[in-house]
Amino acid sequence: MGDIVTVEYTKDDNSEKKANMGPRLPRMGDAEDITEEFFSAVKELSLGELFHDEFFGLFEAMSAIEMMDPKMDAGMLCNRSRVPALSADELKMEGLTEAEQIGIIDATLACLVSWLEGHSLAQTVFTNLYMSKPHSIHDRPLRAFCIVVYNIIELLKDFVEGALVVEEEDFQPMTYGYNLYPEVPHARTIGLLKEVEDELTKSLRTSAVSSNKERHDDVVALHARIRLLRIFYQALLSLNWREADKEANIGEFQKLLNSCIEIIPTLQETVSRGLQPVQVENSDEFVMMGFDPLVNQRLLPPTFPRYTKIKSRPEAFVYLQELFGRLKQVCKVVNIASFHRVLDLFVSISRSNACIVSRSIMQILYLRQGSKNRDRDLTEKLREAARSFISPPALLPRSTILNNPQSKEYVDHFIGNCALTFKGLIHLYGHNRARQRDRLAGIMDEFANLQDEAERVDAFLNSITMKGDPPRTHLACFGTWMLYHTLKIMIMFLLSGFELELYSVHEYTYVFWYLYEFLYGWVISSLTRADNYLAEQQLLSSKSTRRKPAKKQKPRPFVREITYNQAMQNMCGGYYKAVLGLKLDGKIRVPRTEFDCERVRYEHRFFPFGMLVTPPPVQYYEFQEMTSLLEQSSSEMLYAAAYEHFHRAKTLFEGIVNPDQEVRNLLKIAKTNYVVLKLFATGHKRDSDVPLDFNFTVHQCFPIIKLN
Amino acid sequence: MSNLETWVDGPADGESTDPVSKKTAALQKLRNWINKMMRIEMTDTRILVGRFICTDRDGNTIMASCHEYLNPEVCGFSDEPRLLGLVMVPGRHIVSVSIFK
Repeated sequence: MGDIVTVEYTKDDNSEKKANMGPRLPRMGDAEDITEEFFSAVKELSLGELFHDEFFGLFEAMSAIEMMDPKMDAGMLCNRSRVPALSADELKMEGLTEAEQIGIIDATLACLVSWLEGHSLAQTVFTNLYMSKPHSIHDRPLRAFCIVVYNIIELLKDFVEGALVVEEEDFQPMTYGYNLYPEVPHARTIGLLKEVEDELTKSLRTSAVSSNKERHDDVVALHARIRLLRIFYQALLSLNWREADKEANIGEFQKLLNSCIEIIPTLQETVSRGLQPVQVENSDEFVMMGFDPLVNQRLLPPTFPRYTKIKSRPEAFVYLQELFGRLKQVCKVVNIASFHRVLDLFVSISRSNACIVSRSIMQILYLRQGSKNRDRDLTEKLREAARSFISPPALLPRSTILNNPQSKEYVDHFIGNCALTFKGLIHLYGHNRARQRDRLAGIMDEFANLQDEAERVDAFLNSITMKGDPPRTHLACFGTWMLYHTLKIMIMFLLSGFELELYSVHEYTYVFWYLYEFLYGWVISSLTRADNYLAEQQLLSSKSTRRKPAKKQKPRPFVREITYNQAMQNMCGGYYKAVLGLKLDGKIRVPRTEFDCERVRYEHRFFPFGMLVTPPPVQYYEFQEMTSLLEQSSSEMLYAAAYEHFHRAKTLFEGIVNPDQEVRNLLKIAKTNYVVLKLFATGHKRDSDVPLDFNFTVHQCFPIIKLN
Repeated sequence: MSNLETWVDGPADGESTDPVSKKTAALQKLRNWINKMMRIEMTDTRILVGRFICTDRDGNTIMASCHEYLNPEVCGFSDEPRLLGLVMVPGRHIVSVSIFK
């Protein structure tokens, strides 16, 4: 591609007087001014005609950044500060008042929180000019604060990078050459903070007796801030991440988090004590002492600058409070023995749209790299999980089956593979919701392999157990267990489409149809099979030990889950029939037939299921056949069928003892939809053209049907 | 988009008043410049240096591997050049164009 002229710089060329144009500006002497020639030449081109060489394509045309467009051009003068930038020498480095320090601290915390939401450090925390020279600050509280913020950033970054559940939209780890770590070691930092805290406590005592109430309040506020940072920092350190020989000190971590949560209200009450940004005359801009939002503009990548909105200070404190709460939740994962409950916790944390820090710390706590026994631990937990699910004879405590070396090998191999896949599943739950959907589709393949292996192991073990005394079947033990997990993943995959707003309303029919007719039905049948099998096992074992049957019958472990799934099945049935009826009534906009091919969309939505053998993927024609039967009935009948479904769902939900928040929400939805559809069935508002609304505010996957 | 006609060779006598040959002459000039290092000064005094790869009737210009230089007389300090990569400079923001020999 043409010859490229090597540009020479005038760095050492003093003879060139153009040198005042900048130390490394290309020498003008080598360039020939062609301004006039150039503009007269381009005038000859026709309108819309591009002059370019043959290697130039649409890609080049589209990916160029447009200069002088404020949204794209980070270096534009208007994107540089209009307020003269304070060089670090002009900053007030000593004698800052308490109010000033509180203001700077609060503003920095707001920046820190914005960074955790995915903005770049250069546009958030490092707009604090004090951060560039923390050691030159004479006021000790602020100096200690800046240093601890550096260390906290390093720690958080390390958690996020270690857990590997980060995506570019979650978090930006770039530090742009701002680096303090490990200049001030952890112990020294804590010492520094404690010293500052002690000093402040002392001045608290003096200010308490003095008449200056204002000053006392300021010291209280500053003290609370330093203390919060110190405790949070210690909490992060107590996890001992990266220290292979130490376990995470969860008790300490939770205790420290509790203290953090207790301090937050003090911070919230004293927000107003800090220096607030002042408005620049004749402009909408606000300037905060010690901050220059555009100071790092030239450090940003050449792509267009991302729009950065820094949270307000009160919002930041709320965020921190929630973060501490989430971290406390996340710790629970360490103490849960049952693997199935651990999975549930991961799902529920993920569903709450937890932030990247809590997701990462959760991963690290559970799949901690430091401990060597983690993998063996996981296989042990999986054996226990299989036992509690269906108690396969091979895994029973006194079972002799595993004395056979071949069956031992098969079972160990299978559990080993399970451990790998489930580890992947846990890791997957750490990702953000949108990425999870892709990964769920991907992991189905691995579960298909596991199912296949489970069936073969079952068949082999069956040949042994049938010869035993008493003969027992081992068929479909591991198989059912795997099927159950596969189905849960399939359901989660379909439901995540609602949460991510991927489906348009006319698509609801086949999504709910699939859930209603197949997935929930299959979950129920696999649970029932496990339930029956467990009961059989119990009967057999009580016979063999010739003990009297225990007086109190053990409650069946799956009752709650079966009821829940039956209710969900009815919910989906209700939606399916309701949407079908609404479609018949023309209340739902459908694409015009000439632009539409429902089959293509159907196949796209259920594409990942094609990898599985059990359950077999359901083809489009089956959907069409089953739906066309229903479509022959009137919309009233469909509404009536739908409200019966919702009614049944409601009754089932009400039967669940100790309902959690999710069940309560679903119950509310079932009740409301029941009432609305009953109105529809009686022809109420039938002919009105009030728009229909599927309202997802109560639950992210199950809407309330509303007439607005 | 593609303009093969810009590559049609023609007599390179730029003095002709005939519209066809005038255009050919202009194209010839542009062809001499293409892929050469170009220096553009913008209305906000920044200077861009990059490889000239595309332009149109309004002088909107695309440059590859472009560096941005600040003019210290205006912004008060000098700084390292910043690598921008592929950029498009709208013709109306171009103050001067020069080409490196």
